[in-house]
Amino acid sequence: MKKCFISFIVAFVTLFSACSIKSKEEYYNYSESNISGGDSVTIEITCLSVLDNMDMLDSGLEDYIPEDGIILEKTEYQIKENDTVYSVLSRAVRENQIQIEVQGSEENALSTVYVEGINYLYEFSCGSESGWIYKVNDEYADKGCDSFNLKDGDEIQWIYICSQEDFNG
Amino acid sequence: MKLFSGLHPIALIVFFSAVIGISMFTMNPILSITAIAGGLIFKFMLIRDLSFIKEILCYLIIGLVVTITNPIFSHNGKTVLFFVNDTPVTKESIIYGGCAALMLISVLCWFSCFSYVMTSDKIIYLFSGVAPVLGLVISSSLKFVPAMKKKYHEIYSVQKNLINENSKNLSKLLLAVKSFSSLVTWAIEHTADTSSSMSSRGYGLKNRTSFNLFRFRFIDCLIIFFGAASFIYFIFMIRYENINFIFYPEIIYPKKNIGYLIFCIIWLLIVSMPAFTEIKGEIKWKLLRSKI
Repeated sequence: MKKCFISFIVAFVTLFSACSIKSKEEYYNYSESNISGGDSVTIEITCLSVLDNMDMLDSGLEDYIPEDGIILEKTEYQIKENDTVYSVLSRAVRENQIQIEVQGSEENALSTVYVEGINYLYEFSCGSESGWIYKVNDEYADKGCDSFNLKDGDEIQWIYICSQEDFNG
Repeated sequence: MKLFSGLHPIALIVFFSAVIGISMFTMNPILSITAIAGGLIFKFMLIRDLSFIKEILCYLIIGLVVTITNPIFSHNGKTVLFFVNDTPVTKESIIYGGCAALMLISVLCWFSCFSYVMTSDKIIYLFSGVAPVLGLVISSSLKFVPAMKKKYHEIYSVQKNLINENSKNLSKLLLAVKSFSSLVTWAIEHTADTSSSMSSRGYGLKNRTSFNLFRFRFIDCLIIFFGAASFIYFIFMIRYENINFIFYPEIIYPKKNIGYLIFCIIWLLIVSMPAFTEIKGEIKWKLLRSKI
C-alpha cells in the first residue's frame, strides 16, 4: 500500500514537472527574438466562403465570423532558415491572440501537422466538406504545412472552404 | 414488492428504449441530472443493498475520468484558463466533459436498471415470436458476465485456501492468472453443455411456447403510449427546436420557450415514474401491514 502510494506520488510529480503552466497573459506576451535578415513572407487568414454559406454554419458560431471574412489581414513576417508555413502561422496566431487547434504530426497517419480550427471555426463547422486549406503564391501546395519551406517574398493564404467547389474555383 | 417490474415486457421495453434513447442524445446537464436522480432512486428501491454505494462510487470515478480527459483532447472554447505546454485548457471543454460524463452516467444508470428489471424470461418472451435465437443470445449474453464474475470468486477463494496450505510464496497475480485460466476452461465447457441441453429442450425453435404470467393491462397501454409519444416529441424537438446546450466556442443555453418547458416536465414525469411507483407501493405495503 505504501509502495503504491509513493510510486503514485512520484509519477504525479514527474508528470507535473514535465508540464510548463502559463497563464493567458504569459502565453501571449511572447515575441520571437533574434530574427534578422531581409527574408520576409506575408500571411493572411480568411473565411470568405462562410459568408455565402451562413445557413450551413453551426449554431453558436455566428458571432465569431468577422463581417468582412478576414480573420487576419495580410501581415508581413520576417523568416529565418527552415521556417515553414506552419511555423509562420503559429507565430502569427500567437502574436495576434487568435485561437487555434492543430493535430500534431505524430497524431495522424499523414505525419504532417493538420490545422483543425482557427478562430473557433473548425473543420466540418460549415457543412460536411468544410475545413482549412492553404495557398502559397496563389497555388495549392502538395505538402503538409510543416514541411513546406518558405523563401523570400512568399505569400501565404489560409482559406476556409465550405465545399469542394470553393477548392476548385 | 416489484411493482414496476411487474409490468408487461412490451411496456417495459418501450419505456426503457424511450428513456435510454432520449438520455443518449441530450447534452443537457439539467435533463441528465434528473435522469440520474430518477434512475438511482429506482435502482435503490429495487436492490436495497450496500452494493448500491459501490455502484455510485463507480459512476463517480467514470465521471471524473471523462471530465478530466476531455480538456486534454479538445482545446476549443473562448475562456482560456491556462496553458499547459503551450496548449490551452479552456473552461468550455471542461464543462463539456462534465456534461458528457453526466450523459454517460445517466445512460449507464438506466441500463443497469434495465438489466435488473428485464429478466431472461421477459427477453425470451419478447423475442419468441420474432427472432427466438436472437432473444436467447441477448438473454444469455446479459447473464454471462455476472455468472462469470460469480464463478471467478468461487474459484479464486478455493485456490487461495488450497495454496495457503502448501506454499505461501505464490503471488496474488499468479493466483489470479491461475483462477482465470480455470474460469475460461469452465466457461467453454459450460457453454457447450448448456447449448446442447437447451437445443434438446427445443429452445430456439419458432413454435416453442414458454410459460408466462404476463397480462396486458390498461396501465401497460398507457405506458406504451406515454413512452412512444415522448420519444416522438423528443425527435420533433431535436429537429425543429434546440434542447441541447451549445458548448463551443461559448456556452449557450437552450431557449426557454414553451416547447422546452413542456419537454422538461414530460421528462421529469417519465424518469420519476418507476421510482414513484415503487415508493407508492412500499408505502401502501407498510400501511396495509400495520392494520393486521
